[in-house]
Amino acid sequence: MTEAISLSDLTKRFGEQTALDRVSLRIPAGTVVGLLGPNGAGKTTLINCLTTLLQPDGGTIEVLGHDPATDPSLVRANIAVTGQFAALDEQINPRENLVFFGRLLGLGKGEAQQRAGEMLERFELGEAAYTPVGYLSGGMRRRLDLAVSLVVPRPVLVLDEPTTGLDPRSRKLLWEMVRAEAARGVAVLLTTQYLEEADQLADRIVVIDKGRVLADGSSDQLKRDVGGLMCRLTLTSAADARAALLALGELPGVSAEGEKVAVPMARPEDVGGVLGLLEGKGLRIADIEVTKPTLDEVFFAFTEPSQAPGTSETSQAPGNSVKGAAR
Amino acid sequence: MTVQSPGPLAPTASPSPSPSPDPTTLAGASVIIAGRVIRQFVRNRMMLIVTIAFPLLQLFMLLAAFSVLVQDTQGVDYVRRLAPLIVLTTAFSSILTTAIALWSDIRSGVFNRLRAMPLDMRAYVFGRIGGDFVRIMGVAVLVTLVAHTVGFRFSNGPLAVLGFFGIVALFGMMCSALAVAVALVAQHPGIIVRYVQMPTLVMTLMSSGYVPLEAFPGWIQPVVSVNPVSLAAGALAGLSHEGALTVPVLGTVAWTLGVTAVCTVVATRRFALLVKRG
Ligand SMILES: Nc1ncnc2c1ncn2[C@@H]1O[C@H](COP(=O)(O)OP(=O)(O)OP(=O)(O)O)[C@@H](O)[C@H]1O
Ligand SMILES: [Mg+2]
Repeated sequence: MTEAISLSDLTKRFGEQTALDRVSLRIPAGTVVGLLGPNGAGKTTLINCLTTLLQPDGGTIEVLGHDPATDPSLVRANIAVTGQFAALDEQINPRENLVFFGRLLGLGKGEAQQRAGEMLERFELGEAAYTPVGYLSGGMRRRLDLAVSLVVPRPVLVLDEPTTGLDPRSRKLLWEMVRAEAARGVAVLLTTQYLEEADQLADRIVVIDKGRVLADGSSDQLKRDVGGLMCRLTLTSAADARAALLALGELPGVSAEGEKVAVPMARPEDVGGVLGLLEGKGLRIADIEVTKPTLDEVFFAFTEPSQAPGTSETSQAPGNSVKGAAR
Repeated sequence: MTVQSPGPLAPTASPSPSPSPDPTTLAGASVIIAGRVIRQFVRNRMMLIVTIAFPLLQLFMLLAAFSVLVQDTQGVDYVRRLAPLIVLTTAFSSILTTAIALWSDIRSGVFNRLRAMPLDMRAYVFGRIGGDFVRIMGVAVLVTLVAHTVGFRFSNGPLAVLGFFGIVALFGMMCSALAVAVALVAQHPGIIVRYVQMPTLVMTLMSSGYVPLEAFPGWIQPVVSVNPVSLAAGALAGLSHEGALTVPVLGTVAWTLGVTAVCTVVATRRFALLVKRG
C-alpha cells in the first residue's frame, strides 16, 4: 500500500541558506506524526513544499501516490491544511468564511451552509458566527482557521502549530479532533513547539533543526534517549542540598545548585527511593516536582553532538532506536 | 480538570458531505470569488463612504457652488455636465482603494489558502475583476438615480440610456483592469499611491468634465481633448442629453479596450509568477 505521505531527501534552499536538508519522512494512513523543532528549523518550509506552495530544490514528495510537481491539483484535492498564520477573510463573519471556502471546494450552496453550521458547533464558535472575523479573539480565529480547513474532509491533514494561542480547553478540543481524524484513517502531520503536545498526540515524533532530521521515533523512544524524568527537589538550605547530593551520590547524573537538587529518573516510581534516601539522613524537603524533559532538554540532547564537532559521538548521543541522528 | 468533549467529535459521528465533492469550475469559482468582493465592499463602511458618499457630496457641493454661475455663462444646466463626470470619477477614484485592497489580499493568508486548494487560480483574477465591475456599475446606477433628483435627465430615449451605461461599463472595466495590474506589479502600497493617486486626480481635473474644453489655455487643449475622461464624459453627455457622439464614443472605446488589453497581458504574466512563487 502506498503511504499517505512520503518525503525522501527533500531539500529546499533560500539563497545560501539550506532550510531543508535531505529530509525523509513517511506517514501511513491513520497515523499522527509530530514535527518538533525550534524557530527556523524548517517546519513551515516542509509543510509549504508538501502543500504545493513551495517548489523544493531536490528530493521527492508523494501524497497518496501523487507528485506535487506533476500533479499539483490532485495533491491539493487530498490535503486539508491549516497554516501557521490565520488564513481567513477578516471582513466577513465565520459562517461566511466557512461557506465561502466550502463552496470553492465544490460544496453546493445548501450543503456548504449546513456544513458551516456543523463546523461552528464542533469548534464551539456558534456565538461568534455572525461577528466579523476581524473582531474575534486570537483563539477563536485559530479555531475558525482549523474549522475552515476541515470543512471538506480530506485523507491527509496538515497542521502548522495548530495550538499556538489556544487556551487549555480549546487545545483539548483540537487534540480530540486530531485523534478522531486519525481514527477515521486520516494521515496527520502537525508541527509543534510543545513536547507535551507531541507526546499526547503523535504516534511518531520527528525532531528537526536547521533543516535536518535529528531524531525520528515514538515519544517513548525519544524520552528514553533524552533521559526520562527529572525529580527536582528544593531543600531548606544550601548545606542541606549538599548533604542530599552526598546521600544520593550513588544515582547517576545528580546535580545540585543552591538549595535545589535535580535527580534524573527512569520511572516515576523511583521517586520513592529518592525520598527514602533523604529521609534516612533526616533531610527536610521544602518542595518536590517531577517533570518530563522539556523541549529544551530534548533539543539539547539531540543537537549537542552536531554543535560541538570535537566531542565524542557517545557522550549524549541518542540511542540506536533513533535513526538519522547526527548524519 | 477534564474537559468534556462534545458529542460531534466522536469518530462515529463523522459528518455529512460526500467525501470529495467535485472541484468547482472556473466560472463557478469566479462567481463565488466575485461574491466575496461584493460582500466585502458592502460590509466596509470606509469603502462605502469613500466610493459613494464622497462623490455624492461632491455632486451637491459643486452644484450649489457653480450651478448658477455656469448656467449663466453657458446656458446649459450644469448638472447635465456634472452628473456623468461624477459617475466616471467614482469608478476612477476607486482604482486606488481597489488596488491597495488587492495588494494586501494577495499577501494575506487567504490567498495562500486558495493556492493550496484544488482551484483554477485564474478564478481569483476573474472574480476580483468581475466583483469590482459589478460594484462600479452598482455605484454608477445609484449616483445616476441621485443625480436624477437634482435635475439630471435622459432625454434621448431608452437606447441612449443603454449606450450611457455601456460607456460606463467600458470605463469601469478599464478601471478594474488597471487596479488589478497595478496591484500585481507594485512592490509595496506606497508605489500604488504614488502612481495612481496623482495621475487619476490630474486626469480628472484636466478633462473637459468640470470645465468646458474652451476654458483651458489653447496649448493644453489637445491634451485635454484626448484625455479618456474627457472623451467618456463627452460621450455620456451626448448620450444623456446633447453633444457630439462619434468622436467621444469611438475614443472611449479605443482607450478602454486598449488599456484593458495591456493591463490584462501584464496582469496575467505577473499573476502566473505570483501563483508559482517559491
Ligand atoms: N521565503 C523565504 N525566503 C528566505 N528564507 C526563508 C523563507 N522562508 C523561510 N526561510 C528561512 O528558512 C528557515 C526555516 O524557516 P521555517 O519558516 O520553515 O521555520 P519554522 O520551523 O517553521 O520556524 P517557526 O517555528 O519559527 O515557525 C528560516 O531560517 C527562515 O528564515
Ligand atoms: Mg513555522
